[in-house]
Amino acid sequence: MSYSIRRNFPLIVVAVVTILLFGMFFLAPMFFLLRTSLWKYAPTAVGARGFMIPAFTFENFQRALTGTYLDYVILTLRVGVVSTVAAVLLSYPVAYWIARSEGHTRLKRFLLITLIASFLVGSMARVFAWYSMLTGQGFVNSLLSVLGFQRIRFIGTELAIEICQVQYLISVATLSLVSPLKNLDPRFEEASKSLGAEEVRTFLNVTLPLSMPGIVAASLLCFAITVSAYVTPLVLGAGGLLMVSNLVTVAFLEVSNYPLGAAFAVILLFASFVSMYVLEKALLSRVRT
Amino acid sequence: MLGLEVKDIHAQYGANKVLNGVSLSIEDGKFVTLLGPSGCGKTTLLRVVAGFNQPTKGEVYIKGERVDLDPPYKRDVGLVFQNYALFPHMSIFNNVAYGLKLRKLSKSEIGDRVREALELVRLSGYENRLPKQLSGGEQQRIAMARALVIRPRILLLDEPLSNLDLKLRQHLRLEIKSIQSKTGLTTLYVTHDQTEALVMSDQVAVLNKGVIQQLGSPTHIYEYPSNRFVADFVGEGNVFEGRFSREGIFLTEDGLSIQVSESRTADVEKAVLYVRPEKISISKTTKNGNSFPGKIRVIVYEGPTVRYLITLTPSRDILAVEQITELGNLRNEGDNVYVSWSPDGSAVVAS
Repeated sequence: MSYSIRRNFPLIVVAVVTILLFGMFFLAPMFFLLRTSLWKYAPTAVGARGFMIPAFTFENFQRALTGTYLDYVILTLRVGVVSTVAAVLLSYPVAYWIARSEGHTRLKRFLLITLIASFLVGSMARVFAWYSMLTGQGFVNSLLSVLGFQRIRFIGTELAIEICQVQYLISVATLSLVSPLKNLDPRFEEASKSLGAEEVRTFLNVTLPLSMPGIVAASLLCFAITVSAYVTPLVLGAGGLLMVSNLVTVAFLEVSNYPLGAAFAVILLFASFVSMYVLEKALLSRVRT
Repeated sequence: MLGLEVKDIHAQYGANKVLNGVSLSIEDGKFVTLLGPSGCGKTTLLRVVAGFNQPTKGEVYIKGERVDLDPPYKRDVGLVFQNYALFPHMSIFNNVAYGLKLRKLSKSEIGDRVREALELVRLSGYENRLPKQLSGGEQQRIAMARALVIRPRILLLDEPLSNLDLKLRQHLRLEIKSIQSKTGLTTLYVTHDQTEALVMSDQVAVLNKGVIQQLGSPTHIYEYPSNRFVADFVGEGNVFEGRFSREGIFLTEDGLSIQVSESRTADVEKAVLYVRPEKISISKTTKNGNSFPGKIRVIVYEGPTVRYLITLTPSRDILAVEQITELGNLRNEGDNVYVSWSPDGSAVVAS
């Protein structure tokens, strides 16, 4: 072995292992998924490959993006956008307070621990907790009627899914917003104030644009988590509302239409990539430092 | 009229008292430096003037108007930070125009004044660049332009040169000073660098432990330090502890008798006497004034100057600095020499 190979040996090992793992667990599954989504569904073709034949076609995507399926795809994207926007809007002030205010160290620590705990609660527990709270006789409706409002039917609605998602996403978004806000040099805001901008203007001109990378990262995380939600729509949608993850399961497990299921999965991936691209372009073009 | 006046300022972070009754008056148009070690309270005082730290007690007046209860954005001060704090998401033009837009000036006037400000700091043509595309020195000058363009009532500079290398620092010292004289702005400058303070200021306020130790012109601070802290912090010195005899001779604890001119004596019994190393001359033979025999122990060559450590008594080395006018004049280790200084060459403070 030459000296340079010997010297770089550990590096080469690490690189090879990384490439192998990346290929095996990421690239190869992606390739097979994409290939399956482009194959023809054949309910009668029983064989090693399942119910499909290797003939190139777009018909799975056509099916996935028409009729009721399209409605569910749109529902998924809408729930994703609404939940993400609501969660980030609600989280930003909390994260801002934790990151930027002085004092209250104990309260902040308590809040952070609460958020982490909430983040760690399993999705089953969370969803059924919300289910019991949102039923006709549940906590939320009891509260509404005590306050003199009409009871609302939550279960089976998009709103129920969004409420549950937002509650989960608040912990995700807040935790991911705290550190970029903490790292924001207060001198930028002080410079702005010394030049004559009061608090609100300083926030809009300086703090908000400079915290955009954090907002984008938090939004991407929230969006990706929401569009791939599975248990939440299953339980709170009460069978009436399905999101793309549920469609994937139905296609694969219930009707054994692998190409269609793969097409749904590809659409989900595509939506995440597009959201990444759009957020980058729209919000980060100038802020990058 | 006073450009800036602070009266009996007290400030603290939690239980930590940072400023303990600082009062300072700056005549309109003067350049005053707050000089002190880190943690002495100099930056806190500047931030109190800017409005970012609330004093627990005391008053701040800018051009005769009380401002300590005003928020920072109403104080009309130009502020330059150590890390410049240029807005990274805005072009140089928008950075400099920031304060003007807030003042709702017309587009053409903003354009004119930004151009003027960039000319003042000699960075015309940089309008469309982003801060990250500029070198540290250029960013520093843009920060100056941004602070000056709003025509503030006073200019506050918080260690603006500390992140730059020596050559650039030396150059920008003079540039900042010349911009300041051109604009005639009352300026408060914070630094821990004594050379910077001596080079730039009309007045230097030496700060330690939240108290002004001495306020005076650079010459005064350097030549007539008012206490041990100032004498130790500003410049170097050979330190002699001792007392004055009835005849006005300074008798050191290790047995030297030092003549001190009348203007330099202090009316105290126990005192500390400082002799700056550049005031000491070295010769083969004895001289008038104070002259003591010694032996050169260490030689440190520094380019333009050379430092000698000369042993006077077993317990005392004297530091002397000489200009190297001719390389042949360099002395050798072990040479027997006389160290001499004039009776006017010592500074005396109470011990």
